[in-house]
Formats: sequence, C-alpha cells, structure tokens
Amino acid sequence: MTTGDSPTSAVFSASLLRRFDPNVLSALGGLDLKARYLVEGFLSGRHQSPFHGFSVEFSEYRDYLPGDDLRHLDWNLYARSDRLCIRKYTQETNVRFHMICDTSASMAYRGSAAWGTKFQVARILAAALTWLLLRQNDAVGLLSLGGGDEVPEFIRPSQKPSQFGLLLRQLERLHPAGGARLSALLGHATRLIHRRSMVVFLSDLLEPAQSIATAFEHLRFLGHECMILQILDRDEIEFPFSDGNVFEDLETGSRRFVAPRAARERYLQRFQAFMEEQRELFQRLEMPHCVVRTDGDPQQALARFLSERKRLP
Amino acid sequence: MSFAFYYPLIWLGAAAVAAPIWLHLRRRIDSNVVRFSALQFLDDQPAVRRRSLSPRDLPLLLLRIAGLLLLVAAFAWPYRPDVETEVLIEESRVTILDNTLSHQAEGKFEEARALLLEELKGAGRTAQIAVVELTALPRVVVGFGDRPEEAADKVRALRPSHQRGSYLAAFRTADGLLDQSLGRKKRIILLGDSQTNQWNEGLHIPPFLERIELTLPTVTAPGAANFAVHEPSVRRVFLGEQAIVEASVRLFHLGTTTSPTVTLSANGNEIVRREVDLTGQPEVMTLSAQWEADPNQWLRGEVRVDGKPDTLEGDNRAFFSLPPVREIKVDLLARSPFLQTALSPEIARGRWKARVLSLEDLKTVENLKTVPPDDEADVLCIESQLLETAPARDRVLHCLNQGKGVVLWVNRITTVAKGFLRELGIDAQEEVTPAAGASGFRYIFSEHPVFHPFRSADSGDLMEIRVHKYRRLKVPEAVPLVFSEAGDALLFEQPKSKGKLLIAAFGMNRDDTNWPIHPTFIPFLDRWLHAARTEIVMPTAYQPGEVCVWNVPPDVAASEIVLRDAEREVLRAPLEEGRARFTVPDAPGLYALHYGESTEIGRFLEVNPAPDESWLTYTAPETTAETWCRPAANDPAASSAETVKMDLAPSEILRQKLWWWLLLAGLAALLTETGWLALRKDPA
Repeated sequence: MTTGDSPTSAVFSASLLRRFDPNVLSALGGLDLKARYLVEGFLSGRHQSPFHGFSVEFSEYRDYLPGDDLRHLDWNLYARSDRLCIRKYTQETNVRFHMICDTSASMAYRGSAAWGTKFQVARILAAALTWLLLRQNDAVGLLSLGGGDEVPEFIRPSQKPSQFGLLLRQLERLHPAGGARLSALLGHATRLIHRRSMVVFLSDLLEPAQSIATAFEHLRFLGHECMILQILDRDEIEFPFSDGNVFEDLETGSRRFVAPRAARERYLQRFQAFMEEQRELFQRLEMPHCVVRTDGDPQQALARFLSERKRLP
Repeated sequence: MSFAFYYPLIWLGAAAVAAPIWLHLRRRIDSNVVRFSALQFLDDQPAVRRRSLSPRDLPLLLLRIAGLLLLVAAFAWPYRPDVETEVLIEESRVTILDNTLSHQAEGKFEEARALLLEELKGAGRTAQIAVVELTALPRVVVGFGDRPEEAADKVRALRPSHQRGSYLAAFRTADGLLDQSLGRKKRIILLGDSQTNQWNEGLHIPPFLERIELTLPTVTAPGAANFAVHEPSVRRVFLGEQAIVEASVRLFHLGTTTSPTVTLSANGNEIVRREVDLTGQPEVMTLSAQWEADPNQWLRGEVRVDGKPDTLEGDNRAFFSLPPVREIKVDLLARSPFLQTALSPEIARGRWKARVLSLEDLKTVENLKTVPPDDEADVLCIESQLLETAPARDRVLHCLNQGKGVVLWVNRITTVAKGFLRELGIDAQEEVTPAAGASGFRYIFSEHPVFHPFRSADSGDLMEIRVHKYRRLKVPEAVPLVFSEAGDALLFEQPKSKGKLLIAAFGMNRDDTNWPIHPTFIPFLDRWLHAARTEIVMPTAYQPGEVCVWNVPPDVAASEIVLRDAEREVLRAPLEEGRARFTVPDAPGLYALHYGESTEIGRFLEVNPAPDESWLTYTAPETTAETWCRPAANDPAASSAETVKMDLAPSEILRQKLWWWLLLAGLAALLTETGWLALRKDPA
C-alpha cells in the first residue's frame, strides 16, 4: 500500500507537508482536513510505508495438500510446471480500535504557548488516528461522554469508509464540560467493549491515580490492549505563572489565592510525583503511555502509536 | 406619561438601568482570575471564600447610574406631559369637498376650495381637520395628523374633476374618520352644490351618523341653465351594399329654451351641424343621424352642443367609437325558417356570417367533420331533432372540445337525442304544455349580458313573449337564465370545459313560441349567439374615474395594457391572470387601448361624464341629511373631553433648552466616569 496516491495528498504542497506547523493546522477548517494534514505530513516524512505487511498481499507458494481450498490453487503455475501450488497471502489483521476521548472541563484549558486546547489536540489526534486506521482496514469506534451529561455516546467499531465521517461528526459535536469523568468513562468502556480490542485513551488524566487505576486494571484484565495519550499543557507541566492571582478550578469552580513564585516549586514537586505515579501504573499494566504537549508536535504521538500498532497481531 | 408593564419600552429602560449595575458587579468578580486545569496540585493554597455580591466602587456606580438616568431623562423629556405639549382637542371636523362635475358650474369648486383653504389656515390647535374629496371613490385627502401647511398644499393641488360621486359614500367615509378622532365635538362640513339627484340617492338609508353635527350648503337657486349631450350610441347597418352608421345621442337642456347648435363629427369630418329648436321640447330628447362609413375602419367621433346660457361646459361633448366590422361565423343546423331568415346575409350582414345548412346538406353532414380550422364557425346553432344523426352529435362535441360555442334549441326529444343530452349533462324530461295554453316569462336574469339591452323599453319587452310548448330540462351544472310561469327553466347557460353551451327548452318556431315574430327576436338572437362565444366582450363606455377591470383575450401575449389619448400615453396597467385593473382617466374623451407595446389598437374606451351630473337642480339637503343622523342618546357635552398629546416635531423638541442640558449632563457624567476609570487603571 502506498500513501502518495491519495487525493488528499494533492491538497497539500510538499513544503506544507514537510513538517508540522501549528499555524497551518489552526488555519485549516474542519476536523477532517486537520486530521488528514497531520497524517499526510507524518507519512510523507517516512521513507517506508508504515502499513507494509498489514494489507492483503501475496506472500509465497506452498505445495498443495489434500483439503486445501482449490480457489487458491495457482492454475497458471500448474500449466507451466505441472506443479500444484497454493498461493499464500498475508491476511488482514482486522484489529478493533476504540478511541476514548475525555471531555471533562479541564480539557478546555489552553495555555499561552499552546496551539489549541487540550481537547482540540485530543480531537485532532483521534481523527488522525481514525483515518490512519481506516486506511489499513482496521475497525475504529469511539466512546465519549457528550454534552456535560453522564450518558455515554458509543460508536461501534467498523471498517466502512463512512465510519470516518461518522466519527468526525461525533467528535465535532463534543465539547469539554463538567467535572472529572474519566473514571466514569472507563467504567462505561469496561461495560461496552466486549471483544478483545485496542483501546486508545486521549485524556489529560488529571484525576487521582488511585481512582482510575482500578478501572484500567479491569480493562487489562478483560484482555484489551490499551494505549494512553496523555495530553498536557505547558502551563501544567512547567507552571510558568508569575503574578499573584486567584486561580479557579475548571472542573469544580473552587478558587484559591496563589502566589505563583512561592507556590511553583511545591507545585512542580507534586506534579512530578503525580506523573511518576501514572507512569508506574501504566508500566505495571503494560500500557504504552505517551505525553502529548499542546505546544508540541502531535506527530510524535502518531509515531509512538504506530510502533505500538506493529506490536499487535 | 403613563407607564404600563406590558409596554415594551419600560422593559428596555429597565434593562438600560440594570446593565451598568450588573456589569459593575460582574467586572469585580471576573477580574484577575486564572482558570486553571491542575488546581489539584495547589490545594494547599488558601481558598477564596465566596462573598455575596455587593457594590464596590460606590461612587463609580452612582456616577454611572446618574449618567444613564440623565440620558434617559433627556430623551424622554420632549414627551413629558405638560402645558406646552398637551392641548385639548375641542373639535374634530371633516370637510367634504365636492369634486364632481356638477360642482364645476359657475366656478363653485374653486370657491369651495378657497373656502377650505381659509378654514385650514384659521384652524387653531384645538381643532382637528380632515378633508374628504368627493369623487367616484371618495378619498381622504387630508388626515387628522397632517400639518396645516401640508394640508393646505394638498388641497391646493386638487383640480376640478369630471367624475360622479355619491354624497352618501362621502358621508360614510367622513363618519369613519370621525370614529377615530379625538375631539369632543364632531362635525361634518359639506362644501358642495347640493345637487338634488345626489341627495335622492341617499334617501331611505338608515341613520348612521351619531352625535355628529352637520354643516350643509345653503341653496340659493333651485337650478341653473345647462346643455349637455349624453349616451351616444352608434351601430352599423347594411342596406344592400351600403354600409351605414346609425348614431343617436340624448340632448339634455335645463332652464333654457334657446336653440343650441349640435355638431356631430366622425373620423375628423363634420357629419352634421344643426340648430335644435327646444321650444316645447322635453328636457331630454334623442337626436339621430345616419351616414355612410367604411365598415373596415375604426369609427371615432364626438357630438358637441353649444348654446347659451350654459353654466356647465364639461358635459357638452360626448364621444363614441365603433370597431371595424368583423363578421362572426355561425353554422346553422336548424330547420326553423325563422332562424334561417334571421341569420341570412340580408339581415345578419356585418355581424354574422352564417352557413345555413339545408335538409340536403344535412344528409351529407359528415363533411362538417373535415372543415379546416380556419373555416370553422365560432358558434354552432343546432336543433335537438337533428341530434338523431351521428355526425351532428360529433360536431357538437367537437365544437365544445375546441372551445367554440353551441346554441341548442330543444324542439324535439327522441330517444337518441335524450341519450346524447344526458351525455352533455342535460336530463330531458317530458314535454310541457302550459295549462293556459301559453306561458310568459316569470323571471329573467336581467344582469346577464344577453338581457342588458332589454332593460330599457327601446329594445322591446321580453315579458310579452309567450311559450306554447317546451321541454322540461334538468341541467344541474347550468345557470338558468329565464323561468316560465310554472317555474321551469327555459334558457340555460352551461360553461363546458372549453366551449360554452347555451340551451333553450323550446324551438324557435311558431308551434313552440311567438318569439320569432316579436321585435325582440333579432336583437335577442344576436345577443344569444354572442353569449355562446367564448371570446370576452368588454364594455367600452366608462365614466371618468371609474375603476375598470379589463379582461384580455387569451390569445394576446402581453404583460400590460397601455392607454393613450390622441397625443400621449395616459396610463399603463399590468396584467395579472389575464386581467388589468385601472382607473379610467378623469378627462372625457376617446382612449386607445393597446396590448403591450403593440401599435395596433385593441379597443377604444369612450369616457363620457355621467348624465346625472348635468341635472343642475339643487335642493335643501336638511331633510335627507337629518334622516342619516341617529338621535343623540345622551348629552354630547357630558362626554369627557379627551386630552391628547400632540406629536412634536423635531424642531419643537430641539427648541427645549432643558432637553439639551440634560443630554449634556448625561454625556459629561459618562465622560467623567471613563476618565476616572482610566486614571485608576493607569496611575502614572
């Protein structure tokens, strides 16, 4: 399978695709274009197709054995060489992917250096991954909590080309609202995802690790492969504030007087500890964990994702 | 000024006052707040206690409110009720200015107009004045809300018209206006000539004016001398090879016995000029003339009367026109010798070109099926006894399907004919012989165009017709036009899908009726055949100012009609669904009607003044006018006077000095607030 022949590649010039540019991404209208821009840009930088071996293609010959399906017999070869050979193919993997997108209010945060809110980054990544996966005949679905309520909105995985549009429409309808809801989302995931699948989480995970650990363990216990794309803002990682201000929590609305200079060191300590705790959890559960910064290049996340994808059957 | 909570402006005002307070409080809350997503790592920082919302910068808030209130007050000031802006409307007055033709006599219209202008000029602020112009359709020229200068301009712009109007309609319009007026006293002033026939039109009208005073004109003379010519009538007559035009006109004279000169001219040529001695003559007399004229040309002419003394000149001319002759084709499948004779070329020339088929022709009637379209008759006239033959039946159906007219005389009903009539929606029942041996007409639908000429005795009396024998017909879809004394319908009009079917329940022969030997026979047959045609024949005689709805023939492809007089285009009217609606011009004359930009003349409209306008007899109006007034239920003085706020002109608003001061103070307050805020934000 090649990537250069797709119609969308004509949309973007070579220079445009050379490297990720947040300004270009922001200027593009529609989630569809943004996702394709991200994927095309990512793929054009690779020398080898990432999809090699996944598609339906001829692999080798082997001798015919009684009981083999005659449809796979190579009659041309038989005519030439009087040998009965069976053509072997590399079959489709047909892995089911579930995108789980966190829509808690904290995802609405956008720092001064970011090119989008955490939710926008999550949404674009989800769309890009969906497109990427559908191109290689994987089935993709989506689970989220929409509109500030606790009712899950679940799109079952499918390989159909129309699935991309369906997921895009759903992603465009979502908006961050409400309090912490990742644990609720994980609970829905364990209930709704029955067959062994690969689950991709797009969240900032800014919830106490112990509250979500059980849910992740449950998912792992059910045999699902999980991948965590943790989306964080530079402000959350570095706490660059300097002026004394009132800080209001996006999810709970609680306010605190904060002297940033004085509180910075303590904040960073606690944040690092939190991240360490998360890393340990995902290491223990063998879940690939990738931090995506809202001021960084999301293509790194794609690269990490693909390397994990190769690991799967 | 009164306030009500359902009045939208009060809510707008409340929102305007509440907005700065809300903004003030909101700004205090939202300032210096960072909304952050990872506050869980700062939970060791002191929490902010929520306090109830309270004003902070009280002086700033007060200044904002003061500024706004001043601005609101400034804009509301001109509408504050006070002595300057309120007046008491003592009287509402509607003046009816008679602008009919008769009021032009002796320059009375100009006098009345001048009087009205004086009245408008002298009206104080305590009187509301409206003006209704009495024309064909009374119209409000000046409303109660108009400024005196505008009102005077509008009245000054009125020109004498040639129209005929109704006092009653004008009084009703005035009454409607007074219903909406505010004055304690309501009055209608008539500035008119008090023409007798105008008042007579309003006799026996139930009272409709309530608590309204009337000021009516005083009549100084019972009448005025006048000559007029009315109702010109022209038609073409063929005598052998001679094409003759017969014209008649009514000469009217009042209050004089001198000998006026009557001049008849047509197509630019003077046909006759004659002095008419009126000694011992009635007030209305008919003058006739005959002359030869080319039947293939339009005939345009006028009759003029000149004489002294004549107080009204606007009615001294009457205009007429005649289109070129176009003979209409009719197929006659009838054995009636009366029908055959009536439609023979000797009698019907110039109107009908009949193809009368004899008995021999009927034997080969199949040939009629192959008549070329151009040679097809517009009307088929057939007797029911001939429906025995299949080609005749086919012909009837063919004509109806082709949009032609069929005139059917049911003189005999056979089994075959009965079946065919049922197919046409006619249930033919038994033959009826009236008990008295003959039946007259009990009811005639006189509004139908066929019977229009018979409204006057000149064309003969249809009530003299006797029917000895007829067939009882039930035609559910048809309009019955004439009923026998027994109540059976005798003549029907049945519009079919395309063509038109006219049915008579008797035949035109002596066994059935005496009509063929009655003077109305030929005129009736002519109208009856015309009525069968699907072509729309529009009347062309109109009065000035009359509203005309002109039906355009279906084959005309135009989007509008154009009316032109001898020199210029007078009006254009758009066509909607094949009709144009327009008001006939005010000036009498001949107007050529064109379809679109076509130079071909469609018709001539003859616009002549109403004959009633020439009757310059005047009467004291009190008797009639009093019958229009309802007796007062209670004392008008007891009704409360209504205090009305006058609409203030912008110039009057701007003249109020306090308004300006309030506006300036409001702006100054808001400016101070802005400066204060700027200083506080940037102390440097």
